[in-house]
Amino acid sequence: MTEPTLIRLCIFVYMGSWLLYLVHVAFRKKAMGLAGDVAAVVGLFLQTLSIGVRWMESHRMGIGHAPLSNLYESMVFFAWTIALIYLVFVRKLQNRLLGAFVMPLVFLALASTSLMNPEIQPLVPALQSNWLTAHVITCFFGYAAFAVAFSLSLLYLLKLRGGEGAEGFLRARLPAAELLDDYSYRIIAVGFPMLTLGIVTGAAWANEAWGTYWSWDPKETWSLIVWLIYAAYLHARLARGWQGRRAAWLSIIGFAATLFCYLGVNLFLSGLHSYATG
Amino acid sequence: MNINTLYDRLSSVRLTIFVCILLATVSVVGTVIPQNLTVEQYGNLYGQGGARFVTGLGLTDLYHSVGFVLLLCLLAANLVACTTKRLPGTWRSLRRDASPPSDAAFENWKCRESFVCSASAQEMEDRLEGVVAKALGKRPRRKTVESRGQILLVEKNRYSRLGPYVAHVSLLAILLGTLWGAVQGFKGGLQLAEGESSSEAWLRTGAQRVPLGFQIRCDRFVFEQYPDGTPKEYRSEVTLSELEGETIKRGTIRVNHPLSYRGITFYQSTYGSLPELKLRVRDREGGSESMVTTRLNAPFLLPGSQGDRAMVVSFQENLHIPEEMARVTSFSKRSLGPAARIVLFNDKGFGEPFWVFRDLPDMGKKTERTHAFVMEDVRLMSYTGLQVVKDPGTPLVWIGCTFLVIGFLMALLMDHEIVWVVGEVAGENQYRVRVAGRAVRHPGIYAARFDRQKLRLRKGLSPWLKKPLGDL
Repeated sequence: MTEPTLIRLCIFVYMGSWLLYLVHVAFRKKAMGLAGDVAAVVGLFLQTLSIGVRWMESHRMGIGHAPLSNLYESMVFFAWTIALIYLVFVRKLQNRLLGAFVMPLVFLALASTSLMNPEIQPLVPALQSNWLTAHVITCFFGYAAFAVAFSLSLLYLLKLRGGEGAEGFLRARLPAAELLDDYSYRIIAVGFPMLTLGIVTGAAWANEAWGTYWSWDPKETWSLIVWLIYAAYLHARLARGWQGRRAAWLSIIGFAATLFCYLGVNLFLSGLHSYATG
Repeated sequence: MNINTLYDRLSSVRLTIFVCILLATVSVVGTVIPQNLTVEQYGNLYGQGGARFVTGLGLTDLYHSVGFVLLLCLLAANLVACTTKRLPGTWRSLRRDASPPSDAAFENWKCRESFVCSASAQEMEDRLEGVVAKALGKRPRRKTVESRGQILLVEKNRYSRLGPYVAHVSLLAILLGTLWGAVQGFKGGLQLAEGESSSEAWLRTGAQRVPLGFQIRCDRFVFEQYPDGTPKEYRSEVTLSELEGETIKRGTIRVNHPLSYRGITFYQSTYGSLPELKLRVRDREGGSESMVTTRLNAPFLLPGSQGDRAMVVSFQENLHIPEEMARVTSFSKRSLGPAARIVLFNDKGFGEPFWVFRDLPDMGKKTERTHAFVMEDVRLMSYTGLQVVKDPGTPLVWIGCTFLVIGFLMALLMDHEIVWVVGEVAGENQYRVRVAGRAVRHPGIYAARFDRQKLRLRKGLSPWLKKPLGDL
């Protein structure tokens, strides 16, 4: 099977997983939740296969490189990391409502690749570096962690809405607020060192390619902005009065900044990362 | 405000949050307004008034503006104050163990449990430790035996508490390294045609030159493409030599593969082509003639004159006459081929520049210039554009980056957890075991983990257990 076909199949499988989670949440059917998990695992497997197929195809074309070099490939990888982090994490949380929030991120990310150029392109000289793989993988694990944390923070705010007492539909199905808050911290605590590594590997690479590890290029600056927001988040949890609600809002703003750093910079601002546009 | 209040304010976590959010907000502005353009470019973007506004506020070079640097200094002061204030306390508490919580405090810990065993103090004295180690997955780091019983302390990832300090000091190291590089180093550029050599680089800012202390010659520049035309490789083959001429080494410079020597690093940056012109110059009065091989902006002496010189100031591979000009000139065609713009000058000043065409050798014969120029030949030489950098701060920056990540991993992924186990005689053949645990960073997650630890403890203690007490 070809890579684009596999990706299209993945979109449907992830969408199926989402629907199963929705049914699971709405009717409290445990089996549906498990089926959602299974669908997500199948989706992840197929997607891993598609990435492998694309990698092999690039080698067959004689321009072999890890499929992490343009917008299409990075978006596929972004979806893959979100699905992976979610699946590792859902076993700990034991609540599938999160899946109903995370899965749309996964299949929407994948579906958006239909707007992008799926061609396998050779690497321009600036991208021919061992730093490429390390830089992209660390950055996107960071981004994906923030995506999952964002979903948890949304759930947290939903849980708090309407104060204590009245049991809403969602609130009754959500884990304890404290647990949601802790877990979103937990995932950001994984994502933050990842993003830091991503920025550091990017700086090391820039230093090797251009002779400056930091040049205030829009992409660099936005990654710093994201970093600063999550640094504020982590400190917010240490300072009294900043836990919970305010921290959740910081996590949501942080993910919005992450999305802008990943997509907005390439769409609206010009800079050194222009090859990630096509 | 006295000095202590200032110190408290500077070391507060609130200030950290404030500075982080402020830095992030200000940084956004610098990505929305393009940086370091010319006054004209800002004029085109924002109009005259807008251009004056952004330049006046220093928004055109925001990240090097006084305000931004001051903000970074505030961050640095915050890091220093925070570290000096809190590290001694953390260090002391790492050197000695905390005392177990008092009975009253015990009741305040959220994660706690107590069991009552039918056993004597002697029976439990040795066994309790084993049960606890098995249930919590770690041997107690301290055991205190008292007359009424024993106290065990189990602690996980004790040294992770140093993580934040490692990260903060690393961040300071990165800032220092950047400062050191800015003060002690330079960033410049160098254009070398094939065969050309240079012993100095042009600074990126201003028209200043810095000596390298050795020579670099470009032997060859190669540009390769993929079949579809995408660039594949830019490669400069260079020779480094002493100023006196002795060869030091040969090397290649490619994108992502710089060449370093004596603290100076050369990076492949741009490329292009430069003309090398062969000109026949004749003195119209004296009749003397000479052949000159020259490049752009390289003055040469005119034949038959004392101090008069000439220089090629620009070159076009194929000069086009614009349509509106074509109507008023006598040229039959609009593409005039290779053309060089030449200017004559001496100590008194510059003359009016004029064009010389390779394909139109008779042009300019009727002028009253002292010399006649004929372009015999022109050869395009490819040149390589190298970035030349000296940055002695980078080692400190990379050490800082490494420990920054290590510090984060320690602080964020290694959870510091404390569990106190107090065993004491509670009556005739009654031995009470009280357990209390906590993890400061993630109480919610820890509560779930404590529930599992509780079950394992109960299982371990089951041979002696009468009935559970407390809030099960």
